[in-house]
Amino acid sequence: MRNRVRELREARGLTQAELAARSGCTRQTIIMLEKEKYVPSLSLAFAVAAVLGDRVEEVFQPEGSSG
Amino acid sequence: MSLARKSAVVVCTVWSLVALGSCVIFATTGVSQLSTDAGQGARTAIAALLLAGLATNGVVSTLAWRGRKRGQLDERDAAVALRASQATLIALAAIIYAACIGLYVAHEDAGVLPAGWLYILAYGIVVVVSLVHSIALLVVDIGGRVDG
Repeated sequence: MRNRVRELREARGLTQAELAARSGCTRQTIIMLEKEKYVPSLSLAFAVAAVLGDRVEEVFQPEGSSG
Repeated sequence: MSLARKSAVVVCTVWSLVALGSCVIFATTGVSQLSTDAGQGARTAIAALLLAGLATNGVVSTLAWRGRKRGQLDERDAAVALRASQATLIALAAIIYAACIGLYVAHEDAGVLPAGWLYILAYGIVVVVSLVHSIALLVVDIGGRVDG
């Protein structure tokens, strides 16, 4: 699963800790998300997308998708 | 370092020391002495070591329960713990199998197994479970891919 979490987080001036706190997960999970080493549950994906102010399909894309 | 990783490091360190201490006690006492009155001191020492390890597990579990309530542990930590438990189960089955087959081969001709080996197996399993699980937690957390 590819994602734009880091790009969108930095664009909004959020730290990993801030994004984690607002999304209801740990900073370690945000780190692993940004490294694309963790595929979040649906609820976490929606929570992260909501904090970043984007639709979930804009933040997360399955491998091999074009956009 | 996350709470989950800190907990795994602490548990791994404590159980490594327990394993080392147990090995030293078993080696200096000898299998044949372990089940006799002469081995009482060794058995008490090993029980004390295991108690320290189990107390550490208890403290870490309590901190994890509190951490979960405070949001310091999340779905990824649960997924890591599940993957580590699966790996521990497989590793433990392999270790117990190897140990029992090894003892069987070593004592097949004699037809009897010194009782001390059963004592070592019993306590050894407790040590191995905790140690292997904490190592598996660290390996999966640091490098592994888990899905939520």
